[in-house]
Amino acid sequence: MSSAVAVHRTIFPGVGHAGWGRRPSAKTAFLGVVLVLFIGYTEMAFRMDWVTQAGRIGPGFFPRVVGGLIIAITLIALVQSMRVASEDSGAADLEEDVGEADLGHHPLVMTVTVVASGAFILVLLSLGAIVAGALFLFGMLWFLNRGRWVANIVISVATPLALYLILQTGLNAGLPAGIIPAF
Amino acid sequence: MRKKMKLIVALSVLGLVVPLAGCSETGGNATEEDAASYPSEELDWTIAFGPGGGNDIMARTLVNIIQQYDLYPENIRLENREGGGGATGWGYLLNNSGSGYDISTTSGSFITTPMQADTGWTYEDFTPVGLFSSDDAIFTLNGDNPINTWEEWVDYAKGEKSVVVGGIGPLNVDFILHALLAEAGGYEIEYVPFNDEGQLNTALLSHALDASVNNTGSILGQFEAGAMKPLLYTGISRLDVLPDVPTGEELGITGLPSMPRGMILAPDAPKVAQDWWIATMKKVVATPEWKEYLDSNYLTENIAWGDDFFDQVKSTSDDFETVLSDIGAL
Amino acid sequence: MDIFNNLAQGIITILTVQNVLLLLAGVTLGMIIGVMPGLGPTAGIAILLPVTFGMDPTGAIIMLAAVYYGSMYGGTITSVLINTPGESATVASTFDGFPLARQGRAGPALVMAAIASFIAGTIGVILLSAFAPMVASIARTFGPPELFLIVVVGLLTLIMIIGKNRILGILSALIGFALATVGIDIGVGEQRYTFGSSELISGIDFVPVAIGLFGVGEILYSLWRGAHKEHLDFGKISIKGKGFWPTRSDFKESNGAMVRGSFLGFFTGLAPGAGATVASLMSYSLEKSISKKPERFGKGAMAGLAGPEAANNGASAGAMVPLLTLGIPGSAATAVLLAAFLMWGLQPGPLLMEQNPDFAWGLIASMYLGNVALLIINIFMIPTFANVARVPFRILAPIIIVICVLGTFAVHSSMVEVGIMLACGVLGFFMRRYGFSPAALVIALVLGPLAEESLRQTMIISGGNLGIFIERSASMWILAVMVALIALPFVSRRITRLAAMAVTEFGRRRRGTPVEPSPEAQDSLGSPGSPGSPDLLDLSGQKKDVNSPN
Repeated sequence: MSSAVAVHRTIFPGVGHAGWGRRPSAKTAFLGVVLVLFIGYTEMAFRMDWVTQAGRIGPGFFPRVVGGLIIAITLIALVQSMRVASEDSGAADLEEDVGEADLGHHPLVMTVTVVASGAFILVLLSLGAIVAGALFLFGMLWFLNRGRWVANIVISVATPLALYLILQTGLNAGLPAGIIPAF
Repeated sequence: MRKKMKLIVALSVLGLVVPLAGCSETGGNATEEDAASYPSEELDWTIAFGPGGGNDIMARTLVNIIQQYDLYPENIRLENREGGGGATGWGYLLNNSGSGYDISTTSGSFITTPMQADTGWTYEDFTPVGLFSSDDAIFTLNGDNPINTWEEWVDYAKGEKSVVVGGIGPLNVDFILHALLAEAGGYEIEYVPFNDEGQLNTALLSHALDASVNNTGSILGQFEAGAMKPLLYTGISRLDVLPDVPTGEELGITGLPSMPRGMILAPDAPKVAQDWWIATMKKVVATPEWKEYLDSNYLTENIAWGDDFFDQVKSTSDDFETVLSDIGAL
Repeated sequence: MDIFNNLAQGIITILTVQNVLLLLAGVTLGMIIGVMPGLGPTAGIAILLPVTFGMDPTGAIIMLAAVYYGSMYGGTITSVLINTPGESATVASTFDGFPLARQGRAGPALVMAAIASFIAGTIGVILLSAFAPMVASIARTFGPPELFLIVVVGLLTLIMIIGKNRILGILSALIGFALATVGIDIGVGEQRYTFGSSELISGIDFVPVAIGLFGVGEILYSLWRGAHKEHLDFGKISIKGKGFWPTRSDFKESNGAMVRGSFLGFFTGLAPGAGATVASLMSYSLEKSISKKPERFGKGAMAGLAGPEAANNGASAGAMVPLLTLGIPGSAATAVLLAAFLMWGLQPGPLLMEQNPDFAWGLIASMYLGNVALLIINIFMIPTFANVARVPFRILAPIIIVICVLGTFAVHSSMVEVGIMLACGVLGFFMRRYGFSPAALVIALVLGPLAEESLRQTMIISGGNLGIFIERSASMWILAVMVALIALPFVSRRITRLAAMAVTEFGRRRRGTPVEPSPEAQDSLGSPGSPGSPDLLDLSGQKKDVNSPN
């Protein structure tokens, strides 16, 4: 296990590790966002009653305890992540990658997927499950599985159609029909 | 074959709607819907609660009857849009204001949810179709409790600093029932809200609660087995299955609310849609299947159409508001 | 044996051609529903309930029981194959199930899960038949104080799950608790963190969060890691193939886990509310804590899948006890079944089994036959499912996202939930990236509201007095079990050490030579019949000395 980690570091010294140098690591930034969010959460908790009129646990009790604990633990984690610099930021996830081919990091692919999924959700109601799903799939496959036009088109159309037939036509579970008449 | 059937049904429904629409010209509601062509689209039927609940069962029963008798010519899309004590589902109807094809069924939360949450609607916003039945409750004790009558219970409860009672939901019909009963009996309560009936019933059986209010249908078996005992029924007249259990009125407690089980259309629904549904539902409530549903769920038939339905809702709603503001919950 | 006569009678009653067909149809339909992310047993039963209106009650209940089991197993399939639990009870199945699938052992994992379910179903039905009335008297003592304690036990098991980074694990669980406070508070009906959105009034549902964190989060993380460039080559999986069946060592590893999980699940399932979820978690942490190789858990330990699967299925048999004997539903799925009882004109309650023995025993029998049908169908269907793992990731990834989006939408037709799902997908990516524990978050989200509700209910009942937990005998028992569970790892280590010392001492005196604890001495602890083994309940070095033959 440790050897895989070591290999990873020698191949990709710059990714999420020492290369970040003095700059706050991405993990520190993530913890910072968590901290800010939950300071807001706790602040709102303190605006709720923590005991009821009858002297029982009120609506604000649990949020206060949880919010307070989150702030305290996030602070500890923040200090840790800054002290060990970026040493362990990659280690945690690498543990589980043991034994798999190391193919580097692809933040662009991931970001494109998130943006495309967001767009898919935005047009889901207006275009309907089949059309929106087919467009999303075709776009993603064009991006990930280039050059195989026929296979991509077949998958793009068949997957949403099959899901629609099972969920909507078969189980009447409610998918938006959009621009195609419902069936 | 099937298509032909549908055509015949559609034509016969048409024959029914045309004269109806004729009398409703004065309705004033600008009808984009051509009276003759309603209904011509898929119906979007919202169930504002999760599967398996009283509201869900009633909606599914109604849809079944409508389909069995081919009363609605188009497809009916049945959807559980649960959450927020009905806020989500009826909020969905609100978003489809003006549509004649968005329909839902009501329950006690139809009145109480807007009181406790900023839902953006009250019952008055919707288009009433009709009230079909009301759901009453039974005041219940643990079966091994030595108390056997309401009077004994009041004596016992007055002797305690407060008694622990339970029901479904924080500020729902159950809480109001307990508050009204305690006020009438002159005793103090600690009300414990539960999320579902299973936990409420085990709480009573495990002696964590002194008393609870329960739905008739799901609790009768407990009475037969002697695990629980009924003291009082909140309906207008005694239940056939529990002839020995007195009603609140007999004990001098009046104005106990019940859950209105009715049907509404989206706000500002076309008059033609409202009239079509009133006419259709009049047929539905006359079917043997509907009677069987009422019997098997121990519901009291309580029929009111159109604005009469909302008049009843209004009086219940006013009662609730008085009770809730009396105890400082609002 | 009267009870087993009843059970046999029940099985004979329902063994008609029509009923067997209904059974097979129900299991298959249930599996298809369960494989859809977001749709679990509750949705499955509710969706198919109207279909059963026209049937006689026995046929209808056979079909619904089959759907119940089929959809539960369907949830396992997605947990193992795409790391997406369809309901909270199968979260624990992702811990080791998904790693197994990634190692190309999806076939054995799914077969083992089916076998575990089958064994738990068998044990559960036997327990249900034999002890239903007795067990019912336990179930009826579970009020809010007891429920609170059971949920706390479930939360304690989180410690075993959060893995290496304790701080981030605890933080993940706390974030789950925080998300759980969104919505109307059960105590006084105040809105918390809803920001005026009517969709948030009912709180953040488990389903979109789990689909996002596990399903989409996993996809994003794999893409980031470059899985779309991988050329994995799993062999074709077929029934005859060597890689399809679990190996002998898989069975050896899982046998105990399955039996323990079945019993644990059955008894936890009696408690209304969190039954199956808590049971599967408890089983997972139990197996991990008693395993000889705890470090393999989370990396594809067969026992880590078999235990929770058995517990999950055992709990659904357990949940039938309060339903049949008390008329009290112990889970959402059994609540829908209860509603179905009413529709068929049956009166749920303590007399159900007495008044409608044919129906009640028919139900129990169909639960059992459902398990059998599931096992058989699965053996034929698993190759189809398991071959999903052979589809290249660059094609599978967008397809899974489409399934996740449409599946989430199908649950409540809510765009807000689809948005929450995608947001949780991104959050899940960062959590994986930085060593947080998505599982702890999801479990805290499920158990948090139960813990808060039951504690607040308890405090209203007791008038704010914590003493209620020791005043009620049922909660005292649970407290005692809890203390024992917490103490067990420490005590067992001590006991083992003390015992080893005692044995060494014993041997030393016998031989008259001082020796270090030898492997033989250690081994003899395992076999109670061997002369050197000390009585574990009667443990004190001195006493042994006194009794020793010297």
